[in-house]
Amino acid sequence: MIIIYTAMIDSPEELSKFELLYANYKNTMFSVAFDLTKNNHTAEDIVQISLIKLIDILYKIEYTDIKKQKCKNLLITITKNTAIDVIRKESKIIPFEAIDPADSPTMSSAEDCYFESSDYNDLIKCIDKLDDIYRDVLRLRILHHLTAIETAKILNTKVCTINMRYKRAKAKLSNLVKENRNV
Amino acid sequence: MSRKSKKMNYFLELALEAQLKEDKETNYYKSDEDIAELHCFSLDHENRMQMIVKLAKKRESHAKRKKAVLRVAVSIAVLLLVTSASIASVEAFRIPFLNLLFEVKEKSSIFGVTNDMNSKLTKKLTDYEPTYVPEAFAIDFVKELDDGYMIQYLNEEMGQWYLVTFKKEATLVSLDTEDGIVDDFVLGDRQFVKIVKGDDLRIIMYWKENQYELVGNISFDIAMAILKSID
Repeated sequence: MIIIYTAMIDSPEELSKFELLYANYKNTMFSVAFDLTKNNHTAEDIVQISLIKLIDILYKIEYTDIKKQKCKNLLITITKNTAIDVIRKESKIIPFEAIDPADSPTMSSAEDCYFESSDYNDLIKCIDKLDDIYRDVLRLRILHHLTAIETAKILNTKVCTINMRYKRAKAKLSNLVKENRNV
Repeated sequence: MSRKSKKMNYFLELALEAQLKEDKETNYYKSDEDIAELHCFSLDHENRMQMIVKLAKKRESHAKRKKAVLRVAVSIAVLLLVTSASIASVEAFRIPFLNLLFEVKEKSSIFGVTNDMNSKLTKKLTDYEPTYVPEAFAIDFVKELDDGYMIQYLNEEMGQWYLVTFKKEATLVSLDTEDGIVDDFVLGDRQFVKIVKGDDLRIIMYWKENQYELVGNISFDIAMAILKSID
């Protein structure tokens, strides 16, 4: 009975996961949105839309990760991409996909990419050199363990685009590591 | 996903997390606790946020409930497994448990009794078999004869028994009536002869040119109920 009873009890911390995220990063999110829109009202709207998006992936966030850099980065990524989407809709700029470089270098399969442990420090530097669109996909898919569908929702794009970007990101990273090694 | 691919993803995850420490964008934006001048959100925003928080809580509680149900199910499964393992491995538990099972089997109308009531007589004789069997009685043995059958019923607990014999054609029976009370009577189209000798009772029933005989140490009323149950 005790086992069953304890199984039914959840830690009270989990109840306020969303509120904790909001309390810790609402101003961070606002800053990201304001930097891109330069408008208080629009920035607040973007924060709200971003938080609604966050609800769908709350289950992927651990309570212990809330104060970590990776959680902060996730909220920045969500807010930044929501802001880009809002600006695009308002100003009718060329769609984001259009500036996505289709002519990627050596399109080797993701399975072919392999980073040896000796490359670890180089790899970190190479991640830094990656374009935002690729780095974001890699972070969302690998660091935050989101599915292609969840990633597509956050980045306001199609699932097939996400899959393509994910493959390209790995290939690009692999090439950057190889280039670094040859230098 | 292949093992190599999984390993590579894990390696990449570590690198991505490490890179975040030096990531310009992530470091540029500070967490709320490090921001000196906090933005004062509008009342409209706060009102909308209340709705969003409600929505989030609802989603969280739904997920939590799902998780709790899963946990309870797993706990019950583990509990059952542990209990079964304990019963099977510890003699002190196993013997009383098996005894309990046997006891249930003996008493239950679902276990056992129905099987014991099955005389397995051939189809041509089942029509002549009594349909009423008193409580706690079980078939002890069955014997098919050329022109009838013999079925003995036993109540081991009470030490009671009775034997029903059927013959297709009524024959003259030599009645050992010495020191016994003999009585004959008619009920409908059935003719009866009753002999009581000490605790033993013997009733012969003649009906439709057939002869039924019941011998045993049961009461007269029960014996009559048994014979009347033959249609």
